[in-house]
Amino acid sequence: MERRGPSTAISGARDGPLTGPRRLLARAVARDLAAFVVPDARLARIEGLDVDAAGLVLVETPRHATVLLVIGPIPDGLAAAAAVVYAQMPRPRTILAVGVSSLPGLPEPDVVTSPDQNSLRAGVTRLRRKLVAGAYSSDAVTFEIAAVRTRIEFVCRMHPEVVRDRPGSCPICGMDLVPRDTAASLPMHGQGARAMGEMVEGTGAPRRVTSAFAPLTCPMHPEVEQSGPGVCPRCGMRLVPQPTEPSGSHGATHVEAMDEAPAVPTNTVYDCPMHPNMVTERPGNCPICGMRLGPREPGADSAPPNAQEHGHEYDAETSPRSAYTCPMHPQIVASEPGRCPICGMNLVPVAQPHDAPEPAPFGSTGHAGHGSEEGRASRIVWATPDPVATRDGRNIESGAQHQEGVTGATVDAATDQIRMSLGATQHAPVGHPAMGGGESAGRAGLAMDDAGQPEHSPAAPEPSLAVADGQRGAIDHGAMDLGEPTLRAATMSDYGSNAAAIGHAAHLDHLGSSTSMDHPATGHGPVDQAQMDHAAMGHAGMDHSVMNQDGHATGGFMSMVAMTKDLPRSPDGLPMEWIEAPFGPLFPGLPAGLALTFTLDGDGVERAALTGGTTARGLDATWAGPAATFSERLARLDPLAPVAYRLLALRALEATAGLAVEEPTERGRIGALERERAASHLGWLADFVSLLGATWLARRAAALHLAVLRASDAAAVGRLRPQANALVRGVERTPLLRRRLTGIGVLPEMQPETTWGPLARSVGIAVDARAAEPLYGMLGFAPAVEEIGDALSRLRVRLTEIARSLDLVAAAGSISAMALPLPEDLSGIGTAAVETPRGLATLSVGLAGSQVTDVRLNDRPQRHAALVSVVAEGVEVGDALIGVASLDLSPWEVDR
Amino acid sequence: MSVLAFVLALLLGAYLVAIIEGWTATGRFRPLAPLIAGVAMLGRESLVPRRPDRHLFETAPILLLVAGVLAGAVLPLAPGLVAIDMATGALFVNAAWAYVMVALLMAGWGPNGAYALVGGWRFLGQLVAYAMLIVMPIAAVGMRAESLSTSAVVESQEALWNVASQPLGFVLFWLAAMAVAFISPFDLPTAPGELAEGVAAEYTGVRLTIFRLARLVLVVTLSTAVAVFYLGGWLGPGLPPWAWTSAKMLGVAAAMLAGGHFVPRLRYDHLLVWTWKLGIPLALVNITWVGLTLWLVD
Repeated sequence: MERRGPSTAISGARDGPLTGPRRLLARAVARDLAAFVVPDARLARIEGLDVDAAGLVLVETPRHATVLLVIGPIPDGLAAAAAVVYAQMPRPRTILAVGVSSLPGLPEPDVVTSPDQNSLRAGVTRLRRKLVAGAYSSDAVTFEIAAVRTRIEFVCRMHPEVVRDRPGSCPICGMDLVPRDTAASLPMHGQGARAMGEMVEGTGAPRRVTSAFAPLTCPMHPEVEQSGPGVCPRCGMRLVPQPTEPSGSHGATHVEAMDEAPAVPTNTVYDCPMHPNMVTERPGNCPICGMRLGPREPGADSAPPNAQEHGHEYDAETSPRSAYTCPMHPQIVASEPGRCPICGMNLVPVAQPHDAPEPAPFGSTGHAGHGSEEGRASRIVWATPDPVATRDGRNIESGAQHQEGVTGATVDAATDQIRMSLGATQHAPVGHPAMGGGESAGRAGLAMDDAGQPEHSPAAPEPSLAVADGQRGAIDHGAMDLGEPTLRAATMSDYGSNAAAIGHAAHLDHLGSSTSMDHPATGHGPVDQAQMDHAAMGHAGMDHSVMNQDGHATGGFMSMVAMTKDLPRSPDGLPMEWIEAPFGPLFPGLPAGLALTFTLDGDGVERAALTGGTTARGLDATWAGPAATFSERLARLDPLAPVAYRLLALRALEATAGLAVEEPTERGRIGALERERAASHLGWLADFVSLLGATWLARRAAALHLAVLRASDAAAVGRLRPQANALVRGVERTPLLRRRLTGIGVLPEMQPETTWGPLARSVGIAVDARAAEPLYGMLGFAPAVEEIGDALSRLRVRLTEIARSLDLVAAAGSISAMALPLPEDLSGIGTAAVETPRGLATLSVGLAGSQVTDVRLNDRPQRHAALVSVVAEGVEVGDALIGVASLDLSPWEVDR
Repeated sequence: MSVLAFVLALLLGAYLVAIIEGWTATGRFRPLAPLIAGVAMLGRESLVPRRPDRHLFETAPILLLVAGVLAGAVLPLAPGLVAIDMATGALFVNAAWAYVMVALLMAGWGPNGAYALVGGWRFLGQLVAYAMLIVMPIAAVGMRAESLSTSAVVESQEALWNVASQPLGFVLFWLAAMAVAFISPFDLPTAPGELAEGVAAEYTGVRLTIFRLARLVLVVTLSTAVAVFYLGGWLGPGLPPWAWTSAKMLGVAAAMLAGGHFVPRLRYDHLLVWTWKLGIPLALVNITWVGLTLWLVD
């Protein structure tokens, strides 16, 4: 038993002496050991550990945990996530490390055990004892990690780029610097996710300069600025971080900033902290949200020339010239009077713009006066970074939605959700265009990395999408703005925010003439005009149109329509503040290591991106080496399917050597592979039904998972068949389950070349590498195929495969993935294929002198990972999680 | 009934329900587990997440507790054994339960965490689903008792329990009660597995203790309400009246808590469809049925 110095205190002791009552509390804490498992319970079972039976109570959030149970060794990315989890746990907190003695970024584990059940049980007992003695300590140490640290710094209110460690005055304007606390970087954990303000603030390395040190401001009232969290004194909204310019002198006025845009190197691009797909070559403001664009690393994003020119050109072409619209459904625009095809209301006439030849006022309102700015000063590039693979499915889907938006269909066919009444009305959203393309991936790429590695995703243009978006924005705006000018105008004045209105007036001038840029400074509240004008874009589009129409604000009430008009909108049309929430890498409902970022609109997922990299171990560099140990190295690729990869390596090596595998050996291999498949599916099932909330089924599945893994031989596995049958029946008979899963995570029509394994078999494609193997045929193999392609289909495919794999193990009669002796000095190229639990894995291995020199694996995991956005976007967050979980992705395979 | 006795009775009930909850969740009967867990929770730090809405964050668990306690105050344990015997008791419980939604929404918004936030929103949707179904069956119960006094409701079941005279209302009220107390499969705001405890995800230490206690008290009051409104309250042979109420309450609580572990969590849109398209018409049928039987009997 290890001790740290003279003290018996645990690493995460509470501060203070151990007094009488505290002794009692410590005893209770030691009795009630709630544990958060890293990576997760499924991997614990794969290690043969039954955490529950060892006396630990599994909890879902680190806030409720006392023990951080680490089943090691774990990759650095997961260790970093574990450190954040640990930092979130309430003291007294302890670390119980299994199979690993020290963890980077974490305190020394309180107890270290070896990875077997008895050691774990003994370890828990030791941990209890340590807790009783050391839960409180007078010299408790604080645990700090960069991800959750905040520090005080001093910043100029006028020049946010001036940041100092100590008080002083601003070198530019001489004002006193004000203190504020700042988060150093983003917690990359998926636990205790933060709302927008915080998410953005910490999100990611490339923009840290611009956003991490941002003071907070109100999205509606940009003149409000403070260093600490709080709400806007004017409208009560939560303050969000303000984007700041990273360097250079910040234009004193809007005029300067726009008209005398500083010359910048052509390969420096600027993007919006909120809308990373807004990429321009010059600094300026985001046409969607009006935030100031921040610079992006040169060369990170290639901007294809044909994908430029957003806004005005499209708007000009597609501006509705028609004169009637529905008061409820602004996307309905008709050239003659009639009824709204959606709600049946009479269409109302809309006024034509004063300056009809000028295309901007109508179409580009939401995109603000920026419409003209863009044309003049900067070029907006709609880029869709695509880090992983083909997005075919997605594009189709997006296209369909846009189509709907334009034609005015009210219900998002893809979701089958009940939307609130407002939601059903405005289908063609404003901000949505910007979001359209699936830039989530790109954003994630930008936003992701806690360790501070910028990750830029290569850009792939989607000009057609941009067009569609432009149209939608145009239609929506045109109709809406013209429909209710006074309503919107009222809003600002009502809140006394003439400052904001003036900021917009400036924009308006822009829009009309693009020369008269005087700032009517009347009635301006506090000082910072420049600040305000810039930040005022927060509501850019909000009253532009108003100004367009009548140029002045009239009294009235603050309508929600006006207040939320410029917020990004999901297909349901209900505008809400979008927040970005991490799900994973240690989220209980998803496989450990799978890190998703959902952009949530309410509880709808607008964008889903795989942030990835958490389980990266740099394995590709380890492949080269002696052929004799290659299979062991490759087996490390995926802890969820080590046997399959080991077998893949063996087969490839044997193919190189031209060895023939005897039937008994092959039987043993099939036994091992099928046992792994059954176990893998059971492990998935336990997680999946737990995500669904069917806890009792989850316990049964987990127990059977463990039993299959622990079974000593093929006969023992065969004896589990009745239990498996009962479980499968139990799942099938679970009330409401079918209804819950039907239509969730439907995969689009896909070619056999882009999906494999259970995913392909769930959409009716009977691809299974096992069908080609003669011995499988002899053992009575038949692939399990379902038709629909939703989460229910995938569940059924896997349920069937659990039963059939157990049968195959019994029929094979032995479990052993023996390696054949390889000949000396082996050279050549060999290929092999194995149907892993997640689908086909192919390997081509090049050997020279019994050394592995070249390894090529297929990209099936990466392609499957690209399906995340297909199944998760546009649906409720629970459905999105179920959709993603039903894919059974292995982050280990994806990241390597 | 003195206030002290009432509070003690409520705490005892909450403790027993906690034992049952642990039993149904793990399959192990451990009578001391809730005590240990409770003390352990007090032993842990009470953390405040970064940038919370402090007022909402701090108030939410307390408000949830207050809502439960207030509802319990008008429910009789035995004739005369009720903290506040109110002429409009059956209405008052509804008013008290309304604050459950407020408390959960505050708990969702307060901690500045996405999971909690989504959990809070979901409960708002859930409120829309259950709100009518908790009120309308009580209306039918009140019709039969010709009073909204909870004691009068029990006395009205002397001849026949309401569960037999208005079974439809019983089923609807039962389900709605589960939804109020966010018992699985109606556990949308906490959604273990899906939202990592949702509204409770950021609470620790003393605040979590209060939150958990409040949830248990809520289960107690809802189960007691089912017993009082439909199962004849204290009526029963042999045992003393308070024992009957308690036993019925525990039975109801056990059934509520156990059932949810076997079914998946409901989607809120399915919930809304069922409650509004099916539940509310059925509740109207129930009211009509009760009205007709009362009229015919007269």
